Amino acid sequence: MCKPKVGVYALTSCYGCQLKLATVSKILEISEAVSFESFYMLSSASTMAPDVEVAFVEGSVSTEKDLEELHEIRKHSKILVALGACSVNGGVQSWAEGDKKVSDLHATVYGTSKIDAAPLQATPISKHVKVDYYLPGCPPEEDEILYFISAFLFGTFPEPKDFPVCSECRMAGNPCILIERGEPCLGPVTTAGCKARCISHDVPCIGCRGPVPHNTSWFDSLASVFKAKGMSRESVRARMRIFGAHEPNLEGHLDKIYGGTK
Amino acid sequence: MSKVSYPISVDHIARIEGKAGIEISFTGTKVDVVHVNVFEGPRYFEAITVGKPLEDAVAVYPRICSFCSAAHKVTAVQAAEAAIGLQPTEQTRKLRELLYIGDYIESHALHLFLLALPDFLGYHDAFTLGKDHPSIIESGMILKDIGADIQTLLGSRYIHQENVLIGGYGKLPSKEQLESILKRLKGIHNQAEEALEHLVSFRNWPEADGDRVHLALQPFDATYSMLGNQVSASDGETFKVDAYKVRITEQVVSHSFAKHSMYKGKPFMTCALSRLTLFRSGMDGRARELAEMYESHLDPNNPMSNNFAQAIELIYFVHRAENIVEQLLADFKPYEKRIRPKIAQAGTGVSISEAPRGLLAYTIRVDKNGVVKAADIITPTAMFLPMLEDDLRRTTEAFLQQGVKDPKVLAEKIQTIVRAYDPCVSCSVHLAEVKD
Repeated sequence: MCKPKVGVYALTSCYGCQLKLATVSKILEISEAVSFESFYMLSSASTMAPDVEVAFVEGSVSTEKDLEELHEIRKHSKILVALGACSVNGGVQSWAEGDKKVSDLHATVYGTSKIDAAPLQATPISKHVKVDYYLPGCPPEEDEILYFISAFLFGTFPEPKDFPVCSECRMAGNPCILIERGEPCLGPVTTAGCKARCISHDVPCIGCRGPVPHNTSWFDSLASVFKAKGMSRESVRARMRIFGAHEPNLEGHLDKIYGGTK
Repeated sequence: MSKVSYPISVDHIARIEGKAGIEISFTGTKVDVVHVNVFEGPRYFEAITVGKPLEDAVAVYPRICSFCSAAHKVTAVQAAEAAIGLQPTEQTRKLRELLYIGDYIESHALHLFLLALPDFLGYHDAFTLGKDHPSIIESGMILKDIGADIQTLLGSRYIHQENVLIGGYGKLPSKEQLESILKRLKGIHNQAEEALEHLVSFRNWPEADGDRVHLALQPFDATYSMLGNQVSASDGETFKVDAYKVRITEQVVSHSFAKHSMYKGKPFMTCALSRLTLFRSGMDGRARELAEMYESHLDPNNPMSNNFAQAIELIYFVHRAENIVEQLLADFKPYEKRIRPKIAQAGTGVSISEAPRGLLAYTIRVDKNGVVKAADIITPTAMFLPMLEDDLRRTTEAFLQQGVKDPKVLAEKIQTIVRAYDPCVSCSVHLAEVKD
């Protein structure tokens, strides 16, 4: 039987996506069906960028070394999947993107001391290489990881989700904590796939799956409730930027929610 | 005679959490350079959360690390509560400790069974180990699963738990769910002891003996726990958590984004071995019994003993979790409301806890509007990096004196020492000073 070659790589991140992948319930079966050519967290036999059919890349580009590695990985992979919030959206390390310079962040943490490696402003990997598929989440959900891997094994391709967490929340039968309690829930503007995990725990969504694509959320009138509930553009912006600072539609989204008023 | 330098360079230490390399160079039997290079990019957590709402910041801090996100979450929440003067309820405290134990069980099980045991048994990964010894991996997975499930039940998921909030929980578990966890815990005593069993029988590690000072948090209830308010050192000193900066200082080093910490100006150790060295007397039951039986494997001066200490803790925390669930069930308030944070004045809060890998310190300063003004986080790996470099130097010199000079062989042996520390490299790069 022909086993597809798979590589699992991490740039700058918390390693949570690899941990999630390593601990999905079917990992031992998966390891029988594919050949993990590289999976640094799990195997010391891993090598950098062997030729693989599918590469899963976790983490954002935050150093020159990350960038070099990413180019190497791309060169040696047929399909490249951005795995998780850092890789897809730049991750929480992008929270200050555009608002604070990386040199200022560096000075706050390290002062004037010299460090040999060069830091970069954290960016999603799609800013640097062609990405074939996106698997969002902080961390991604187990069923989505399994869906992606089985889609590749069957020779087909994973479909992206273009609807918000809000729809899944309705299906989960939760009361709306945004409308009913005025909680700062990002469900209306966040890509679905978690089955409204946090809201089902009575915790407002912080948007870890990234902004919903194509401004789809705007068609969900719930987004306008942010404004009606008296949440300032700034507070909604701060929250949307935790996982969406690099989203080109973000300011446009805010304009739609807040009627273009600053 | 001219001197020839031999560099050993391990570009990427596998089977640790995060990216790091080792650089050692030696001339004859003298080691000139020992660096643990942390390649993990900087993520500036202390800088990016400044100016943000406290609750958003507390949701972001645990993203420093996936293996110990519950540890970061509990510590960050405690520091935030200290800063705003919020006192959580007793039930909340117990549920947090239970969540934290879930993190310990998962982290220790993953480290011991998937990352460390392959070293001890001579395999390069858990997959190949699992082919010859399927029961080992199965036990590891059963333990990992229960640790993950405790965190999922209390935290909404086992990585980046959003159900843990300042002042309490979004949703509380039901009595039935707690009962089911209790039943499962009672059924895994054998699996909990399995790592220790394998470690004891495959004792084959590089000797890395050397004197050291251990630091660990004094358990709040005089038993054995990761929560408390005072730090103890094996040199006899004790100091208050709030004043940790009097004793622990940090410096930037050029070879890594991780800063180096010192205790009274010297390297120190913090890890499971440190906890066991200082507070073993607080343990009870089976874990205490086994710790005494295998005392010779728990040498405070040998970092390789840390894996044994983790195995003892795994056993202890399974029992402690049972204990806490029983206490909770005896007086469970399923509708206890979360205390909503009300921020009326500016304040600074400090919290230190024992993450699975050692001391974890948070200082958060917040203004009267609930906006973070400064944050300082010191992770266990940052604290023990200088000690780790010392150990690598000592061990390399010992091998050189024994005539082992092949850089390839040396590199493999010293990686084992790095893994014994169970470093959390992605955690280690977020150290900062509180600045105005």
